[in-house]
Amino acid sequence: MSASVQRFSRLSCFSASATSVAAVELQNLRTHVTSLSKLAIKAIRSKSTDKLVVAPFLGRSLLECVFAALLIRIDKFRGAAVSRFAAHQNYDPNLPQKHSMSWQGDVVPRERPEPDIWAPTVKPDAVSRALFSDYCIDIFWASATVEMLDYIQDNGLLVDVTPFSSHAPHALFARYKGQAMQLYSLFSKGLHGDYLMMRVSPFDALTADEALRQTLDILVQMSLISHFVADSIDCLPRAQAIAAYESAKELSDV
Amino acid sequence: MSDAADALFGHQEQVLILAAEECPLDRFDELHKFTTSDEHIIRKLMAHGPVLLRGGRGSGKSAFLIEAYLRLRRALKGLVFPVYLSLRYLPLLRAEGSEYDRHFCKILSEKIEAELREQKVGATFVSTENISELHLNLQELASQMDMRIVLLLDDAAHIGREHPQSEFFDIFRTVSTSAVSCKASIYPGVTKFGIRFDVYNDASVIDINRDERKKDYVNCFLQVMGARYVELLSRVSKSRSIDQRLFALLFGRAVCGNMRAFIFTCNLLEEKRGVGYPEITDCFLGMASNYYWPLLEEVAPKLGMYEPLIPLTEEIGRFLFEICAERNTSYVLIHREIMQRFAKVFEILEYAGFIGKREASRAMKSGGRGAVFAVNLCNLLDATVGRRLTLDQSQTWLSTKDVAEVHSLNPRISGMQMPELTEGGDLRVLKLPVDLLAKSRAYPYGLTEDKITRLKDAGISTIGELAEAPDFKILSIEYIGRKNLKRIRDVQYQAIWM
Repeated sequence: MSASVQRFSRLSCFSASATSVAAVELQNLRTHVTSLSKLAIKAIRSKSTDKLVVAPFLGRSLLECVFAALLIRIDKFRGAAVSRFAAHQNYDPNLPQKHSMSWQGDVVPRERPEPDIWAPTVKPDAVSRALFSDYCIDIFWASATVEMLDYIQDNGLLVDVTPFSSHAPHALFARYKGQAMQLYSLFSKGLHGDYLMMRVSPFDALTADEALRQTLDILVQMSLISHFVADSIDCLPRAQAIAAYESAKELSDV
Repeated sequence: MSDAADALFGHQEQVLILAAEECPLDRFDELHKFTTSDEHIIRKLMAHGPVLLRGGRGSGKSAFLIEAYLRLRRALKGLVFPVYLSLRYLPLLRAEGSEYDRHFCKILSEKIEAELREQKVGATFVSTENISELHLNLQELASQMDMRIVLLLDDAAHIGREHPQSEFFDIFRTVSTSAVSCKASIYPGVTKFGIRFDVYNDASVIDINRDERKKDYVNCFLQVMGARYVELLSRVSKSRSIDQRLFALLFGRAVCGNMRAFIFTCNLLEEKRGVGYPEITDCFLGMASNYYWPLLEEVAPKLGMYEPLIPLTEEIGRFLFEICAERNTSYVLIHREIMQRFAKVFEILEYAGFIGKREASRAMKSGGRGAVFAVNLCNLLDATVGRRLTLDQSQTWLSTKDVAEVHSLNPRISGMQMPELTEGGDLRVLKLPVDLLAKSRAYPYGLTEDKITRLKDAGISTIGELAEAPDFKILSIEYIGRKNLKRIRDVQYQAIWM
């Protein structure tokens, strides 16, 4: 399982450069994703009810770290900007920071999408660069998914493509987005103590395990697709990405 | 009925337990087997959170829901209160708006009360016919019991009736809370969720797709054979022409992974002396003529406004098998323009198990992109010259490498026209005479002549009247007892819903 964890963190946080700003960020994230994944697997395997305390933190942190890594690999500007703001002399870690990575805005768009996203009348502010924005899906993710499936098909690789191929690319990402939002919300309520205020908590051991497994599945799958984004330089050679995925997908089998 | 059909449908008991929802719960474990991939699905059904389970006819949706229900009762007793409810209830097919809500609340309330008694839970549930009250009463029940509630709603959407689906999904969303999670089975053709329900944000959608490229595919069918066909499996193990794994792969693939059709195919082979390729050939050809094509006949009166599509569905189906036979492959890649034009036709073909979707988008050599489908090997064999299955032929078809392409400019399919569809009206099946429920190719689960005569003598002359007749009315007929009633209801459910 340790090899699967290493391959997952490499797949999600790979940097082609050793010295860029993004490389430092991705290396930090990779260390974090490795630890979080190990702990998540340990939690799923555990019979102790302690998992109810740690699972919300692990699940939400995994979502945040891996999505941050994917965003930085796809959108160099955003990663560099976060780093510059954090390096400013007036940056105070004790205060909320407007320019930090955030779920709402960086992962899911703040704005409701326009029905026709490329209509010339769309206002510039409505063009979101969030990982799951319709723009990002249309520009990066959908074509990367097609590219990946064609690569596997053209090279006759024995890869189980069923998680990716049963939906058209845009629908696949609408599904990832919906699942990620549901999981984020489920874990966040655990972090904020909502479940402690309830007479009947929905977050039992079975639900915690299943939510962690589902989180790992989505993150591993999206990490593979990210290596087929045409405009990203932080991509593994395709064969290596597929090999890493084949190992990393075992993570949720615990 | 032909000899082949007699053999195919000869196992009355086995035929009746083809449908998981009709299997006695005390025999459920013995007859249903689940693989590692299946375990993922069952766990999701047991965990908290809204889930839609999507799959074609006979794909195993009910089996998953019932297995989750049974496991919740056993393993999480005192922590989770599960309720399994089949929504095969005629008024739900006909009602709209608040009337639909009222019927839904009524049958769910009755079921919850029955489950409280059955599971000996010391709590009371206040029955209601109002959705807002149902929502509150469920919350109250969860608080009383200190348990979360899982509602497993089977057959939530009927293929032939799209209208009430928005009402159902409204209820699904309203009732799902921190203490109550809904899990519902739907068909792949369900696309109208209503304006309040966002399918990707308001639920997790699980597709049941027994895909031959998955690693536990063979084991799944081997396990089912181990549970239901011990003698047949033993004969296969002694065969010199086919081993157990190849057998399971070939038979699973022959029916596009459809579990119910797999059972039918095994029933048919069990009747034969040998298990070599000549017998398998007979068996597949028997399935093509006695199972698949009659299935369209059976499905037609349940399709409502889509019934006029049946002739076109058959025409396109035959075209797909012919083109695959010509190219000697069991996969077909269909240009997306054709898919868009004939979307409902492909849904019906998939629903009936003629084809199984494998990929949503693949590049075509002839340009453009399209969807890849696996075609069933029974109809494919029927479409080949010579109609003879050999080891070489089966291995060619089991290979996933080659596909037959159907481009949008294909002269044969581009000349086909969609018939006009008009909304509204009852399903035709409800107006059909009860005589049709006699054992036949289209209704293999049929009733005896004696039972049909007794029903007619009691004034029940159509399938719709039978569905509307309360249990006590049927039980009041001479020589019809509880066991007969169950059989009659099973046949009626099969006729209307499956």
